[in-house]
Amino acid sequence: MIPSITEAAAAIAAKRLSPVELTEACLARTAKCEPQLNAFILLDAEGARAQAKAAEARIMAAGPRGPLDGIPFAHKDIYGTKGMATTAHSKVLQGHIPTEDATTVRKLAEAGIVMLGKLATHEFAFGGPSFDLPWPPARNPWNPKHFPAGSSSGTGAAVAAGMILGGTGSDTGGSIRGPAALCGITGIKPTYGRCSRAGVLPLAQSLDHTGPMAWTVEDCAILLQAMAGHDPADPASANRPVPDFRGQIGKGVKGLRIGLVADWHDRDLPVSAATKAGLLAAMDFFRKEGAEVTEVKLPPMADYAACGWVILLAEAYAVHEHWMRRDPSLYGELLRNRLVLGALLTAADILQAQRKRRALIAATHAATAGVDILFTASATGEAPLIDAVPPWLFLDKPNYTMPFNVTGWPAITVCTGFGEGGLPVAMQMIAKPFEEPALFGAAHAYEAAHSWRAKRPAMVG
Amino acid sequence: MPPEITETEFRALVARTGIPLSAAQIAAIHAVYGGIEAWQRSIRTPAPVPADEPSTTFSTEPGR
Repeated sequence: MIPSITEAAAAIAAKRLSPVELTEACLARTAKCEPQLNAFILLDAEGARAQAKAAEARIMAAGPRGPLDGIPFAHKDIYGTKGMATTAHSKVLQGHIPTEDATTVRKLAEAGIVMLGKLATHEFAFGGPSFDLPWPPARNPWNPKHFPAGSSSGTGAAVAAGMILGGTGSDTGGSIRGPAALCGITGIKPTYGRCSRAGVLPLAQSLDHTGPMAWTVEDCAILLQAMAGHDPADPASANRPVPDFRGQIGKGVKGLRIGLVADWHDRDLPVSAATKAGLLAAMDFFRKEGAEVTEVKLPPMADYAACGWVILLAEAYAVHEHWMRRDPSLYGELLRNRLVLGALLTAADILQAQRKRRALIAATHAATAGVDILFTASATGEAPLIDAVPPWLFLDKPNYTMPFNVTGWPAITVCTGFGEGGLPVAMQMIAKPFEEPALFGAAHAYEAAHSWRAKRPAMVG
Repeated sequence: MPPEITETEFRALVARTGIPLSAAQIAAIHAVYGGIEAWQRSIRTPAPVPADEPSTTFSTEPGR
């Protein structure tokens, strides 16, 4: 059995489990699954073993630092790691070794995590799945012929396969919540500004969020507790107190006001039968538990998509302009073509999108005045085949995640069961800014009452 | 959706960026450019109020 972080932390604190044993078990699963999954860009097994031994020694001497002490973990390869290559899965940065840790990398290390290495991503968190990069794309552990989504593709695959108990992701248009949905795990994009992005390679700064991905809701709350907090090195960092993210777990959902955004899956972007069934069954669960469920009407998904993608493309091109003008052949075809679109936008396009963003945020607030938590699908359905992912899908259809990058509201993906081909399906729960504890409380109530966390991909054995 | 901009006009736009691309690469991007044109229309619908500020505004406070 693969423990959650919560379970492993309790066993380590009680000295029933050694970080060395736990790390060796993760490395053994990695040896077994990695040849099919390509989740890691860089696996540092010896470094992990040394960290696990150090964790064991300090826990034996003085007890654990906290629930993350001795927990096997890995970082998406856009998180800067001092002395360890940070490539963004791109030839552009092949061999790039940062001289400093990202703020969140440092905070997680101080919490005691055992770092197994660096995880696959879509190129610079945007171009994927790509087959023309120095490393192959990550694959879905529920069926390696299928897409794990992205851009935090390696984190989604590695957590689902139990190669690590948690990992970092980043989310600019859905890159935490998408892989969490298709890989059947949990991932939270916190409120914009809640977690520092300092030291993390940017995609589009006004939409970029850092956040954790793990097997369970409580695990994500534990990880966010370590990652969150004001950081003067990040201009968007929110100078606000960090609450107890587990503070509302186990408190029930009676009286919770839930808003289902039914128009989105009924009208704007239809979802698979299993996705819709999971979402509606969740509404029944919350009603039975005493929550009040109503329908909420938000602006069309396409409005958020147009606004979000124009801003994303423009900001991303600004990051890459120097390299793109000098040698675009360093990029994979997919990212290069997408970045060119950003180069073609006008200054007026970007300012109009920013005005639209303010209007959409106001409309979202107005439509949700009497609601605590919003519910939508997290993805349209089960993972597609990895070699059948349309390269321009984001131009053709909106997605369920971008609206909350536009607003900056916290949003979590939770597994709601399994659909066609035994592949996971999921829902998205969204709270008001800085209300993550309510989100964790409601998500945990759902998760604890369902059996989805008992099932792992067959390849794990 | 097919783009309204012609391929010749599109090549001029790309040339202005200074990104060295082949004719085939430019043609591949032109083929999907209708999606961008749709977004350009969408963000201007309804027509923005002239006095509306963008969501990122200037501030004299350091760090904002």
